[in-house]
Amino acid sequence: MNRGGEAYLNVTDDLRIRAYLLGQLGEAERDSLEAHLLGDVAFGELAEAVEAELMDSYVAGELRGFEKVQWESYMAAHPAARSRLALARGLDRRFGGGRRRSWWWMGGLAAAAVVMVCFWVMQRPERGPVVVPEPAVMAVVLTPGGVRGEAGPQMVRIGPYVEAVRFTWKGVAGAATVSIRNVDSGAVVWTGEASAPVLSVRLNTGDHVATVRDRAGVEIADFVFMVSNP
Amino acid sequence: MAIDRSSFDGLLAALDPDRTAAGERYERLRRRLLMFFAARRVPMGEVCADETLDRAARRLAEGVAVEPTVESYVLGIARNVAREEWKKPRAAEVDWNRVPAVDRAADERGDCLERCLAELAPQARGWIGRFYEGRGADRIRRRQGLAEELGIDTNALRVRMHRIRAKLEECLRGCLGNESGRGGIS
Repeated sequence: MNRGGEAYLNVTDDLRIRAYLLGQLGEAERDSLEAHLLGDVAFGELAEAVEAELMDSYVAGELRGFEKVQWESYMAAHPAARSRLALARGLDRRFGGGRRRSWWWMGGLAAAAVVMVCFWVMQRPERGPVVVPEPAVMAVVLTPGGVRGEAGPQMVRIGPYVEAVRFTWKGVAGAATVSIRNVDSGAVVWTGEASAPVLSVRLNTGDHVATVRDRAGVEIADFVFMVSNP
Repeated sequence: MAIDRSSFDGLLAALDPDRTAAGERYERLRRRLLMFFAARRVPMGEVCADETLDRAARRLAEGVAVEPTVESYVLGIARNVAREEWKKPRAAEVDWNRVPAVDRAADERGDCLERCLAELAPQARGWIGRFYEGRGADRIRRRQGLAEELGIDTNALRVRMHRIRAKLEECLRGCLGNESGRGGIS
């Protein structure tokens, strides 16, 4: 991994580190990466470079949807985030395309946009409801239990553009963590904070059981749901 | 529980017989621990990193064999600290969507950044400027050009620029802290 004092970096490492910082690695992958992070100097240096570049992407508005949410949660947990964010903004403004905005012309632009929208609304023919794109993070409220029965399982329909699902665990207090198991494969596909969004690619079609635990790790409730594509 | 001087010295000696090299390795290990706790979304990462290193130092002082390396031993402790932290009530109170507040006044004036850029060696200042010039495809082209000029590949360039950036960050942290301390920043 080391070549003449400069790290030899490959694309796979790059992507793995990025996924790690964005909370998208499974437990086994995460554990393996952490061993490199602490034990391999070149790998650790690459991780710091990737971390800095994610900050640059955030400042440039290039992180969206779930990635943006995950990066913000990373920053919220990192004590040096404040100075790093300031540095990224400063470098972007000083050398990149990020310039201080001039508000008078932005106001003018906004006013022009409002006029154009009003004109469009008045002129457009009646063509039925406007199709609104799905949000990148979809909200789903689940109730405990939900075992297949007369009413059937609770359905979670995940559209092609949904990047993550934020579950609300209704009827339980003190939910701290959740682990989601795919019933067909038996594999735990997600473990994390109960309030954090769940990456949609982890949720394949089929039955799932989400086990919610409190801060002491005690199970509070199970939520059964079925994932489908619309 | 804080550790005593001899335990800390023992940890440094285990990291490297040379005190300066040991200090650098200690700082590097601490930085990686901060990343570890943030990646696991553990609040109070700084406290957890220090607790991890303190525990490692205490184990060493007790004569525990640290194998196979200090780093791997520290990683085991860090995982325990993370687990313990999650069981504490405050974990649920963290607002995970909170973006750290940036001192916008200081940030936008750019005084601190200019001061810190001026402290860099002229060559490094030139490199970092060129590294961050432009946007999108234009930026990528410029970086490739810079890497060719320096005779290294673009990945090595990224790491080299990150080292310069780390110096800037350290300077900026001090500068923003001082600015806030003077009370001139809202």
